[in-house]
Amino acid sequence: MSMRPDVMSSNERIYALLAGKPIDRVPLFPFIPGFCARNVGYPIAAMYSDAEKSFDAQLKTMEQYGFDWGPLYGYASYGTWEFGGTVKMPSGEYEQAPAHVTFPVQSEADVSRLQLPDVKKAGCLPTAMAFSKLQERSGMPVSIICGGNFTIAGNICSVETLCRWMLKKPDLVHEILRLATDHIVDIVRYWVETFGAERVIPQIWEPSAANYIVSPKQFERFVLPYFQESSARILDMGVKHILYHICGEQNANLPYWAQVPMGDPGLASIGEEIDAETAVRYFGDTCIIIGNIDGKVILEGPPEFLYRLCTDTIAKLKHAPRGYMMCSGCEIPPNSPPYNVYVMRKAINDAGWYD
Amino acid sequence: MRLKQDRMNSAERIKALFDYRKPDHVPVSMIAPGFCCRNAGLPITVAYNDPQNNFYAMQWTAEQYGWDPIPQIVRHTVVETLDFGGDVRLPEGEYEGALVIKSFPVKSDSDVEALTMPDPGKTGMIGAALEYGRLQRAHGLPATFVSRSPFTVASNICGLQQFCKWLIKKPELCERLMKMAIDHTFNVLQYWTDAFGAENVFVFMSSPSESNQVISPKQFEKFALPYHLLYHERLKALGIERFFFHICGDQNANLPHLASTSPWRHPSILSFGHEVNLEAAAKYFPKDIICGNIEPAVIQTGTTQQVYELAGANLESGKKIPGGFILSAGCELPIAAPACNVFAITKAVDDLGWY
Repeated sequence: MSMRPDVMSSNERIYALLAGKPIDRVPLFPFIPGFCARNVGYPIAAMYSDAEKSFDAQLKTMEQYGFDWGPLYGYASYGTWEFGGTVKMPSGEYEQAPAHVTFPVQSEADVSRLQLPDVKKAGCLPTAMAFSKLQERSGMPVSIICGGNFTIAGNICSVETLCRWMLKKPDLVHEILRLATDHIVDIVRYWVETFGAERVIPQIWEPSAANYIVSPKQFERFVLPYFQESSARILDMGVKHILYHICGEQNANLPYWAQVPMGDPGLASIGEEIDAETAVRYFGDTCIIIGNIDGKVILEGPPEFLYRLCTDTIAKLKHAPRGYMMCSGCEIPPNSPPYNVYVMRKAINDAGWYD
Repeated sequence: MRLKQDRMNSAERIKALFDYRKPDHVPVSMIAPGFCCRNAGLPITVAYNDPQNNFYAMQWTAEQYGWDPIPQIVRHTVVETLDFGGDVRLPEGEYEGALVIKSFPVKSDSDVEALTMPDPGKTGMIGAALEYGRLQRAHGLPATFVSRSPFTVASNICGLQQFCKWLIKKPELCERLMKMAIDHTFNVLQYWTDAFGAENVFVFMSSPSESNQVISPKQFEKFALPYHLLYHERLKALGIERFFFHICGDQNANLPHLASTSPWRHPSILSFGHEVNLEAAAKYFPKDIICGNIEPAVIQTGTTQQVYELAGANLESGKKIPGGFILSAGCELPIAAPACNVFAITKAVDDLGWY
């Protein structure tokens, strides 16, 4: 009860930011499904298998901590199930998202048998659609979250195989990337036809193209052309903004990322590995920057250290030319102490106002 | 997070209560040493062996949920089993939330005769509790002295089953244990008044072993009540002004006896388990501040909506109590309570608890 009262509602703040209008304070962007489950006492699996419970848990948690934007549905292993493989829902103390069990492609011969999934029926998409209908009803941005083109490709044949084939069988990689790219466009088209282009803000998460895995040269050759293509096709549908989560260490890829159209403004979500000034240099003129509080600090950091990290990050990014939303650098760990999540909002209260 | 702005700070709110004035809204107070540790990402053992971290965990959690420290209820000052020579261990694993007794100091009739008074300067965890009190004073809070009723202390020296048997067969042994229990409690309290001054000490007492789930109202009147009278004679002699009594569990049948004597200063804070009707409690104790009594099991295992509704029902009854009302759980807040359910209590006060 000691927070300064907001001047704008969450929706007002978000839509004003997207429209390039002034806002009252830095928004707090959610990347938080597993934590929400723990916070309300649900199993984490419910966040991915039950649209209503997932939406409900996120809504309650966001209200409690003062997050903006609204609930989101998606996970990083997207693509495995949709292309015919299997995933398992998280269980136990440490699993926090669906995990691969079998990949749809296990041999070179499997690649030619791959087909584009039916976006109305495949994998998690019916649950994602049910979730988006709840987003639509609540007046919040309607999102469809899927892996980036390269991540989906890695989720089809495993990242290890994809990396080997980039060197030895690049044609197979291009064949899978072609399907992944067409699939992303198909999904977004289905969402646009259902909700209208104005309402849909696709989120494309790209962890597998991190420089822990691929070189910038490989990024330029295998990733960039497909991103440019799918982005252009999505924007041609009338979608105004695309969120790219540039996950992990991707500093060496940034010159290429800056060439990916993300809308006006685009939404560039960065990991803690990317320095705030660097992010502004590459994306400041075209994108709202989202990030990049280190999840390890949210999980384990002393609250004072986390608070300083948040206020320092706000100071560096608050005046980014197209705007800034504070967020974790990747998903907030489900076992994070509730007080630490509160500290993020407290930092905005103390350092994130625009007056 | 969109909570209304307080019109009083915590100190003003508490003062208003003790002056029989209405505060801005119903205060919230929790017995929550273990929950606070979990909420701040610390092990539960911190509540018992690390005063510094426990203090900050409680401060942070109170800030997060808008609780008022009236008083700040900490781990027990007197750990009678340990103080008198028995053995306890720290909580372990996922579910244990407090100290666990390994062996009682008294196992036989002859042990009662052989029992000697502990040196309060050297025994048990008194040193750690004193350090906690220093932190409270350094932050402008009263030093909390957390004790149990002489009946409860005595039963923890020999074990509750043995104590109940002796109530019937060898009541003289119970009397000796209760006499030693009250003397030890006041020997330790003398340390607190010497260290902090009587005017700065807030005494908390709980009496779980006196509940009617354990003893009859006749046994209460005969064995427990006389020591309550003695306790308050001695408390008044020391000049202690503030008293918080947690009348734990189902004590409905004991309330007429407590009400007919009500030996404490008025107003004191009387806290009740969920088994007691708040309006009935207010009729018995019209000159005191009533505190309670959301069922802890619902906070841990119920839905957020159930907790909100239960808190709302408590507020509806509690706000009408002329002597003043504090919203709280009916006993210690469970360590595994989902954060969202705890926030639902704060939200209920924000929606329904304003005067």
